Amino acid sequence: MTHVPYARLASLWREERAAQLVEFAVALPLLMIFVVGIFDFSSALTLKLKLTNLARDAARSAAADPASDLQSPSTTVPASVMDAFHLIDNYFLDSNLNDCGITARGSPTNLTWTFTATGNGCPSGGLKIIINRGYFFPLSGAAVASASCTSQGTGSPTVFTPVATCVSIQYGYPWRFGRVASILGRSDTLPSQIAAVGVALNEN
Amino acid sequence: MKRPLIRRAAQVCAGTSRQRGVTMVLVALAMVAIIAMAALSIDVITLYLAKEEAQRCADMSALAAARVISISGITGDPSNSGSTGSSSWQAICGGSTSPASQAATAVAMQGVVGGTAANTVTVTYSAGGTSNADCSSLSSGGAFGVNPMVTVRIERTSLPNFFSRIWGNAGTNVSATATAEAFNPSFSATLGNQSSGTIIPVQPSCVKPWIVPNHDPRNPGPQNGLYCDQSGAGGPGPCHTFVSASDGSITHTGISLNGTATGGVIGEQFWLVPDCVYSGSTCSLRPPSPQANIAATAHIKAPQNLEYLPGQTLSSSFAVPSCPGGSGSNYEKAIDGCDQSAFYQCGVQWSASANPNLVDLSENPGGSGDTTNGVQCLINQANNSDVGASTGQDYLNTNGGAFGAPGVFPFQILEGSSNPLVTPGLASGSPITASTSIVALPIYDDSAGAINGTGTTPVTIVGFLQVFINAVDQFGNVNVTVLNVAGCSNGAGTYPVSSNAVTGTSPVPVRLITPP
Repeated sequence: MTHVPYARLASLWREERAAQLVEFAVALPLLMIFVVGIFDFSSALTLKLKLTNLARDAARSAAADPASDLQSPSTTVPASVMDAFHLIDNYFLDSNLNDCGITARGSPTNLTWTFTATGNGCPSGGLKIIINRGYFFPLSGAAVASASCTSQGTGSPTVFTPVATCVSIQYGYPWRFGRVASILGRSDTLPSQIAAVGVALNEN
Repeated sequence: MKRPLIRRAAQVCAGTSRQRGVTMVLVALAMVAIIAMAALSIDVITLYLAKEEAQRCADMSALAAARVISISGITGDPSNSGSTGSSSWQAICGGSTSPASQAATAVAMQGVVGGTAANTVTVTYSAGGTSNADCSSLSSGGAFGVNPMVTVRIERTSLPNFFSRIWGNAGTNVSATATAEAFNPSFSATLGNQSSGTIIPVQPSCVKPWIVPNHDPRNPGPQNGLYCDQSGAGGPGPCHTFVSASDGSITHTGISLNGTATGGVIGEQFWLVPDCVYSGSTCSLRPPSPQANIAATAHIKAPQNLEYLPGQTLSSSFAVPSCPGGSGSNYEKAIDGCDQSAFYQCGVQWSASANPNLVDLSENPGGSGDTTNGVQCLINQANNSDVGASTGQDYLNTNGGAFGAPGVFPFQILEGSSNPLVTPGLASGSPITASTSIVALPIYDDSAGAINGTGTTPVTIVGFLQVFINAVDQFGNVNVTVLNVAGCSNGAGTYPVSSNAVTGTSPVPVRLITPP
């Protein structure tokens, strides 16, 4: 192996080479944007996919449980809400997602339980789980379920008002894309949380 | 030794002026590949996400439709007899304006697919290889009568795409299909989607510990002032069964209005009365037992009535603590909550060994007040002294008729004033889809042997009743309206009973299936 002579190293700084470096410096942010963007958006969408499945599985599991535990909601979290909560929490733990040390504590607002956590070094934005066991909406003309799982009006029910369970999961996602985009002078704000909502008609 | 490649390349280019701008050209060329990768990773995962969201919407939607069908009772009317004055199938799943289809669409529209709600939701009903948007055009007496299947197809058009646009690829569509069924085990050996000569039993959860004999107190109807099972000249004789003990089929199919049994067993109303004398801390059987339509006493409501026996409850966990003020016995908890350890095995023959279904006479369901307390807690009923004046609980739309007698079909459940949904803003009196007043109870084969005078007795469960509790009185009498009947035979009849039960929350469970 021969060593690179100093003369050659010095020749790197000849005019043409420098021009290449300048060109590269111009192209680099563009490349970075694409590479980081691909990486960042793909993982965000993958996370959204997981949370979507999870929210709807949790809604289904709670909706299949009896509603008798909701008769006198108190500080004790009802069994059906615990079912949905544990399904979510166990999935987080099993798939190496940081569950932010979330615990099923808290008192409900009507039939909506909200659990939040920001600990355990979890992504900024934290983890928020909203479970509304008495989610109702008009039979026709309802909007899609919101991330807050707030019940919608009943419209004028002629047949019935569907009573369902709504589960919303909001999980912080640390975007890297924003920082890269700021190199190009952009200041785009991306949502700090990925949210997914699931609705299942109560069976009981 | 060869020189390193980079240096050789550098040497080749060195000294020429053509390399100026070569990085730009390379980057521009690479950009095509990079954009292709971006298209692959971001656009494709967007599509996957939308596909998954569409699938989940379709699943929930199909389950919602199946659940509306399940609770409607049309699986108790397999021949679509028209006993309510019009086609009962038509009233539940007859096209896009029917309750089942509307529920499916409403639930599907709750979920986002690629950012907004789905564009089209198509609901079809099928049985035996034919499908239709109007289930009443399917053959009556066929598989749809016991195992109605509903298929929902969700489509979302013009999904946004970001990078594949440069190839002129605009507006991708995704669609997803899901099929759910409501499974009534009655007749399942010879009729249904997967009939194979074997009865497939059901195992509902949270069954209430009220074991009733296989006597339909309203069938046959009264004659000469006497009800069935009552002795005396000119009476109608013994009551018929709810379900056949040999093949699990429903004895008196059809739907009745106004609490009568003229059209069939679904919709008939009667009192469940304790088969125990009122006094005492344990149950002393009320001879002769068991039967229907026993004469009224100070503690027993007048016919039509049906005696129930307390089922055994184990000292294990329950879903809910008992309401304040109650005795908190396990029997009471099993009523006001969900007894998760009780599994009533339908179609398992009576035997001294390994039969988990026991009548337990250590509980006096009437005298202890446990039934009254439990039911009041379960259904939010405020007053137990006068059933007609009881308030708070959900009730059936009687259309001006007698209390507890459904006057319209589809049966409508109206929200009571103490329902926990009132506070979040669902006005009292609204028709709703779910109620804690809907419970399941086991039917036992009373022809297999007598109940022991004390202690426990194993019994053969031949089916389940799904009833709507209208009210309870202070003596443990429970006024109910039948919503569904499910039979799975006594395990010793014409057909073998599968050991794999279909589990669910109701005696007519709903589940997602792969269409046969």
